[in-house]
Amino acid sequence: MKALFRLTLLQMLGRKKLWILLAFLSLPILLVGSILLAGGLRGVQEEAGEQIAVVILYVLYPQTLCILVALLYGASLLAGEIEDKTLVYLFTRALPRWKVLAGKYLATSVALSVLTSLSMTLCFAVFDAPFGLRVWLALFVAITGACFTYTAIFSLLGLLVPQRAIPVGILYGVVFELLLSSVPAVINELTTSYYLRSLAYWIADISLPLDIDEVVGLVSADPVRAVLAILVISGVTLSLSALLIHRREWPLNEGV
Amino acid sequence: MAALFECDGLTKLYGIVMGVNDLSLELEPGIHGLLGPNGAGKSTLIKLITGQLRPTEGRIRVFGENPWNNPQLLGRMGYCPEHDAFWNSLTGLQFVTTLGEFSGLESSIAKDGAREALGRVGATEFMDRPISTYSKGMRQRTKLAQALVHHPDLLVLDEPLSGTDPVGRREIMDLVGELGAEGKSVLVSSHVMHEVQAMTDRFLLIFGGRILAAGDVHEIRQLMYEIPHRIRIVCDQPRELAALLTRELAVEGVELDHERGELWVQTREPRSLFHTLPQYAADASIEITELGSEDESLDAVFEYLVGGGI
Repeated sequence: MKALFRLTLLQMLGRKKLWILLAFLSLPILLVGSILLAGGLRGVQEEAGEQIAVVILYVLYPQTLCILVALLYGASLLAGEIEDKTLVYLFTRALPRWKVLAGKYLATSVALSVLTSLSMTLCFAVFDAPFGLRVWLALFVAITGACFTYTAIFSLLGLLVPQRAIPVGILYGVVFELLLSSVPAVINELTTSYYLRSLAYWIADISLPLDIDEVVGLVSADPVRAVLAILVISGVTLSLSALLIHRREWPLNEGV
Repeated sequence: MAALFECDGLTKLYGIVMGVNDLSLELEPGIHGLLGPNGAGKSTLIKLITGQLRPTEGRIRVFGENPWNNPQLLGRMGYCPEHDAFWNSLTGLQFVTTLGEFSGLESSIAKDGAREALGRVGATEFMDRPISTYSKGMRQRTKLAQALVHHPDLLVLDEPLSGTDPVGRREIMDLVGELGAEGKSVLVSSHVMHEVQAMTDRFLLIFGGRILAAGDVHEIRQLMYEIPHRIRIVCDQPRELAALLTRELAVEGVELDHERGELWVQTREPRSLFHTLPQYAADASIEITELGSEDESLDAVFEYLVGGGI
């Protein structure tokens, strides 16, 4: 498992996709930097205080960027090995197939969490606002939870619809995790975003610049329920992926 | 002791395309050559043996166990795929070490095993270079080393000589022989007859997803009794010997190559002919300088079999 973890990290570094990932991760920093340069943030801070900045960071990272980076890598968790015809080395060794999935999933999720958190921390520094450690921690937990959960969801998607994983994943992200999760009604409890947001809100312990009636519907899951929901979503999707990998024949190489 | 490999009614379909068709056979441990032209079903059979595919019908056992999703059994096998696939950013040593670890070896043991395996295939010199800089032959040797790193009981080598230079070819052939002498079993596939013939005399001939014949080349030849043997005789009086042999019941035809001074004898009973030939020669004072049967080569048997002879 350790070797697979190491190999997956090396592969992440060696692929062209890394440049797309770095571009994604630098976007919020550039965006916040541009706002600062334009003097816009000062106005925002005067009007709504640090809470607006927190919401911006939250929307930028756990709710948008984490979905994109998890889709970029999660949907092709095994596809890269299939494309390079190296899957054969993983599936013909004394290595249960579920361990192959688990090793690659863990390495990918950890790498995405670390890199995205690093980007968020830079953004946090660029904002130069007195958010405090609790807000940073809330964002860090939400980013980590998002990277792990969305990578699990998109790895399943990549196995179910390998050719159309990216468009289907974008559709899922927009419809479910952005739109549906923002509806202040029970239906948003079907989304991962709802639980991540509730957890982050609880950790940050700040008041949001919205009417409390609206806020209650968006962040009302208690922390235990939120953590459980995130674990269940990740666990169920990973188990389904493991089952698919276990049962399916894979195009390990070519020829009859 | 469990058979190396056994299958019963083994069939694999890719949709409507037949990969292997109703295969039933049993192989004892040792070195076996799997021969057949491209598309004959060699790769499908190898994928079934190495647990990459599940049979559509029938049963397959390797060392008495089903290889599909059987990591423990796969740990006893070393597989060298035909296609050229690597994690190119790794060095040869890292690549083989990583695969040793995937086979359940501790990191340090895997590294030692990798050095040893790379040494055996003659890859020590370039093992610290990234694989992306390797030639085809170097890649082939590295691929072979990863199959050896965990000291498997069975090696499955899919076209292992492809892309190697003559020296590399010889070394790999010798290595297969050494592994056999160490008690390892090897299944080596190829579409080039003489390559496999140099490594083993036990063959599986596969074509159209079916095993055409199995056994050593002489057994196969015996099975194909109806195939006429062509025996080449070089002697000082070919015309006289030809006249004598036409009276022999075992002889079906005689051709004389005047230019080369060779006599080609066609027979279905070579043993009988080999038995009586010295007597004819002695009686007529004919000196035989060369005697051989080209049909003993696997090429001839295979050509006959796939050419619709059966």
